[in-house]
Order: sequence, then structure tokens, then C-alpha cells
Amino acid sequence: MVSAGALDCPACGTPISIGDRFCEGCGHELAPTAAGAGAAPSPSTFEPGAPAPCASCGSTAVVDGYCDVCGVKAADPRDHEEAVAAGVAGVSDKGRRHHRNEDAMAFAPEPGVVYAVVCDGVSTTVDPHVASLAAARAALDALVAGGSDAPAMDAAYDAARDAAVGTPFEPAPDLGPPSCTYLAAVVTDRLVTFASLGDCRAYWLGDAGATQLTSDDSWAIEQIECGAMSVEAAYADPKGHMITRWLGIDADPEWRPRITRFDPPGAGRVVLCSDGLWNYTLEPAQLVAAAGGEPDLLTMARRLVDFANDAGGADNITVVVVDVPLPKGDR
Amino acid sequence: MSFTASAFQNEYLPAGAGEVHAIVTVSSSDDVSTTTTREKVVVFILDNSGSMSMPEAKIRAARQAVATAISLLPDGTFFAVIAGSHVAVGIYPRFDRGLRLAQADAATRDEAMKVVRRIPSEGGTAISTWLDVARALFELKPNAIRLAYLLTDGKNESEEPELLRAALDRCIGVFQCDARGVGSDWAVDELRLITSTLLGEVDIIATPDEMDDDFQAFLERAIGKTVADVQLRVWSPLGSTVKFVRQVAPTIEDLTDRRAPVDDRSGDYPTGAWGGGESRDYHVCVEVPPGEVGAEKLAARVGLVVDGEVVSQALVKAIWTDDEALSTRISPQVAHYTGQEELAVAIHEGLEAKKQGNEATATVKLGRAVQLAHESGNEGTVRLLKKVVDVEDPATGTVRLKRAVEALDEMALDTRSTRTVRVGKAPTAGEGA
Repeated sequence: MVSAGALDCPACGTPISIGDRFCEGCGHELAPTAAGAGAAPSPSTFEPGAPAPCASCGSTAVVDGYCDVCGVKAADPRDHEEAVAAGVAGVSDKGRRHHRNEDAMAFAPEPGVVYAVVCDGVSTTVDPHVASLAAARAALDALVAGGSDAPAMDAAYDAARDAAVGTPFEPAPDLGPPSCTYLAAVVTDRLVTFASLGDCRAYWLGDAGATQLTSDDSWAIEQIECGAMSVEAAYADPKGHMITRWLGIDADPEWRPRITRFDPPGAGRVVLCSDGLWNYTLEPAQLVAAAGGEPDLLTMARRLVDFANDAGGADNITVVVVDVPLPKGDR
Repeated sequence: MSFTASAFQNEYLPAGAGEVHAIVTVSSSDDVSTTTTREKVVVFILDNSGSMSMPEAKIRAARQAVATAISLLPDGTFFAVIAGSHVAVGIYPRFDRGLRLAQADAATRDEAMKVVRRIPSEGGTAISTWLDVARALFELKPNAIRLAYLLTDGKNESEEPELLRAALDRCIGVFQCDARGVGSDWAVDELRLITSTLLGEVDIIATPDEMDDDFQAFLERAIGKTVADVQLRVWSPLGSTVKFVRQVAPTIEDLTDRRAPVDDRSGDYPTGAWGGGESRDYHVCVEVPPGEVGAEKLAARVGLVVDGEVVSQALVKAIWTDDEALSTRISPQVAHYTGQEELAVAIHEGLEAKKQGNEATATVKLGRAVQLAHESGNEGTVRLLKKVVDVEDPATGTVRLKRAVEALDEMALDTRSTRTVRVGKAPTAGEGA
């Protein structure tokens, strides 16, 4: 954890203040010690420690978040994050082709319920990694506050949208304002409720294989749904992954998330993921094969991320796995 | 006074590319303290060769202009007036008791104004002697803000060009020098060599009656300077090459060869003295070893060094991506100044071709210049170009060379070809590819 005296972001070196939850410089989530009392429990933690040697040249001199010898960006804790809690585990990874991880995940187990959020930063916008993290955290806070009886899907979405809209940024040519997609889930043994906008997906992994539970707001889905193209052709098109809805200051304020309710037919797992995974598992059977019936939640999340990376890792990959039924007892 | 530096660029590169461009805008704050402790030395270097009295109006206007400037010198400013012909003479203070500077107060200003009204005009032109005397004067106050104003009406014809170059080399870092050519008998390249080397600006004074205003404007700028010898420090990573560093606003000045190494990966480029509320843009181009797709590198760190300390810096990044939507973006700032740099080159080459009698090339180059100036909203340059060519269509750069062109107009275009406009003045900015 960050020590009380550390007032620089461990990821990029930008000065931070006690009470900051996110680094102003890189959007890195700051550990609760730095966040101060009253902050929501952090779903993931990191150990800053001594600067790791530069992966490229071995130097340990880091200035402004870059190697002072060869200029290569110093490792960012968000490049690969893992977190595990009672009944839920998640892995978020930069992938192989992107320069930073713009996905964000946040989850919190409570007695009898797991709240989880995945947001994917839109790469053609300014600082999407800041927006995605702010949105995910804001939504989680709202879900937790709302409880499980009548899931606060609207309030959580509004909080996420406000966080994305409120992300400070310097306008840049040809880049949109900070934007991200949104997927929230409230998981109980009897009912799972999703709210989704954009193209993060939820799947059910059960005895009968994998089932996609949510739909996407994407060009490909529009083509498929209106019958203009086959699934293969739609996703093979360069425009296939273009999202048609997002959270951000330039998003239509009328857009609301799709609400999906799902009754778990028995024991299984709810998988929330960004398109960095599902782009490689267009056939749900591929998801089942990649997950491999792994009993451990974190190991399953890791296997799915590894699968996507082995397949090319073209995008950031985030996978959150929730066990159903939830573990008995407190938390 | 504080400085800020900001970088404007498209940091995304396609796989295998390594050339990184950025425009770094450096601005100084306006909160100039009313009293600056920094000493200031101003030296006026007046051509008083024989031609300055042909017509007599020239030397008369020069005497009057320098007298006006002296009357405006703030108390405490160190100053001197040198008259230059084939030799340089101390007009005020006189050198009979050795080289020295006067310090402005009511008495010295009065005395100096009386003396400069009697500056004679005779002899040839050997500018190296003027610069050497000025250098000796400035060396008396090495820590002051040191600015010279050189006025001439003719070519440096009393000596070999090598002597001028050698004198300029001796002056580098000792003082900054603005230069003005009066009329049309002086050589633009000669004065530009002086001002480029000594971090000053060159301009034309078409008629003697413009002198007074120009001297006053110089003095106002000089009084406004509060920080001396600011350096632009550029760090770039191991294995990289700094391809060029150019000031691109308010004028184009190539600083690439002026690098003074600081350590293995950093070098300083001189920017001279700064006043409050100034803003200058620099175009930095660095070639870095390409990284893997997904990698991010710091391509350059551009900082300001004042009195040996880095006071502000901007980061220039390189991120390799296979997303063409990102890598094909063009930074409007980089595009704009690339155009302004091409504009200056087109004018220079066009005028050169015209001088050689190559009308076809001159027409093409000056046409391109009209097009670039028009596109970028550089109205000042469009106006100057219109005195040399007849413009049929500025959008396509269709022009015809004028049959009769005033030498003064051609020189004004040549002299002012390196003046740029800032981004955002263009009628339709940011369109294209």
C-alpha cells in the first residue's frame, strides 16, 4: 500500500494530495491510505515498492514516469491488475497492442450479493482511462448504496455518466472528450440484473455451456439485427467494433442503459468482460473451452485473459467472474 | 516572472516509424515586478558612412531617432552610442579614456543627445569593426541583459565577408543584436546573418521618417526584457537524434546547429532574453528508435533553463499503434508551422530564382508562397507578396510576376518572409487529409 508520506502517484510520479482517489496525471487509482478515511474499499491493491528496472534497458532511473535513459514508459500498475474477493475475482490487462490499459473494473461483495462494474475507455478520446476508472468507481458506490432488493441501476448509471462527463481534460484534435462504455451487474443467487451501454458483455457459464446475456451498442450488432450482414461479415468489417453509444460529455443525454434480468438456472458463473476478450470468443463455445471448467475464480479470470492475449491481445482485456451461488456466510 | 511550456503533437506513430514532431509553446507570465534587479545594457550602433548623407535626410533622421531613444532610457540603464564606418568610433561615451558605458540619468541623457546630433557621416563600411567594439563594451557587464540595435544603409563593402563572420563568432553569447537596413542599398542576407547569429530580428526601414518609431519600439522591447540568456533544453532518449529545433513564432529561426551539449542526452539551445507576456513557439523533431506496437516512449523533454535552473518543461511522447485512426491524425500546430516554414523557403527560393532571371521557377515558388500565406491567414505576408506578384487566385496559388517591382518591396518581402502567424488565424483551419 502507499505509505502516508508518499505524495507522488506511484504510477506516473505526478504529485497527489491526501484525499485524492485518482491521480490527476494518469488516472491511476490511489490506494485507500492515500484516499483517506471514508473512501470505498478498493477492489484492487498494488505495491509500489522500489522502481522496477526498465524492461527495455535495465536502468532504474525513472523521471516523469519514463526511463531516463531510453525513454520507455515505466511500468504502470494498471497494465495488469488482479483482484479477488468472496465470490468474485477480476483481471484487467493492457493486452499486447495497446500502450495503456483503458479498461477499468470495480466490484464489491456484500452479504448475499455481489456488485460489479466493467468500463472500457474509448481509445479515440482524450484520457479514456481516467474516465473509465472514475465511471466504474462511481457506479460501484451507487450500487452498493442502493442495496440488492431494488438494484439502483439508474442511479449507478447516472453516477457513472456524471463521472465520465466530469473527467477534466485538455481538448485534443481529432480526439473526443473522455468517454467509456458501461456494464454493471448486481448478482444474487436468485436474480442477476445488468445495465449495459456500449459493448462490454455479460455471459453465463453453466452446465449447458456459455450464453451471452447482454447485447452491444455497436455497428456490427446494428447490421446483424437489421439482417444486413452475417455475424462473421459484420465483425470482419473494420467498422464492426465501432460503438454507437458511450458515456461522455458528447454522448446523447437521452441514452439509457439496457436493463437485462437473468434467473440463474443453477450453479454457474457470471462473466463480465470487455471486447478485448469476446472479440476472440464470438462462438460462446470458445469461451467455455478457454475457461476450461476452472474451479478457482481468479485462475479462471486469468485463463480467459491469457487466452485473449495468446489470440493476439489486440485490445485491453478485462474479465470479472462471479460465482453463483454466492458463498455462504458473511461475505 | 514564470515560464510555462506546453507540447502540441500527435503522439501516435504507426509501426516502424520513429520521427516525432511537436510544437512546444513557451510563454512567460505578465506579472513583471516593477523593479528588476537585472542590469541592462543597450548599445546603439549607427552606420555613419558617407552614403548616410546621400540624401542628408538619412543621417539627420538617424541622429534624431537615436536622440529620442536616449531621452527614453530609464535611469540606471547602461548605454553607449557607436558610430560605424570603416572603423568604429565611440560617440558617447567617448573612448578617449578607454572603452566604457554611460549610465542613464538626466545629465548623461542630455549630454548624449547633444553629442549624437553632431554625428558626422564619412567613410566606408566595415561592420566587423562595429561588432568588435560593441562586444568589448558588452563584456564590461557580462551578467546584464545585453541588447544592441544596429542601423545601416549599405553593404559591408570595406572588408572581406570572412572578417564579418569571424567577428560574429566572437560575439555569440556576448550580446543580442537587432539590425535595420535603411533604403534599398543594403544586403538582406548580410543583416540576417548578423541577427540570426546574435538572436535578433532584421527588418527594413524604407524611408528615414520611419526611423524614430522603430528606435522607440526597439527601446520599449529592450526595457521589457527581464530575464537574460534563457536556454531551451532538449532531452532525448538513448539512440535518438534531434533532427531539428526551430523557433517558428514569432519568426522562423533555425537553432539546430546552436546546440550546446549538457550531458549524453541533453543539449541547450539559446533563446536570448525574455520579457513578461512573451510567447514563442518551437518546432522540435526527434528521431527515436521505433518501439513495438503498444509501447510508449518519451521522445523528448523540452524545458526552459533560466540562471542554470530548469523552470518549466513539456513532454513529447511517442506511442506506437496499429490503429490508423490514431496514427494518421495530424496535429494542427505541427501542420500549421510546417506550412509556415515552407512559406519562408518558397519566398526565399522564389526571390532567388527571380534574381537569377528564372521566371518560371520564380512564378511557381512565389505562387506556392501566396497559397500558403493565404491558407494560413498570414495576411501580412500576402500583402508583401502582392507587391511582387499579381495574384489571380490565392487558393490555387496562381500568380504572375509583376513587370516592374520596387527594389524596396522585394527587400521588404525578403526581410519579413520569416514572420509567421499563430495557429488559428487561418480562414478554414484543420481541413484536409
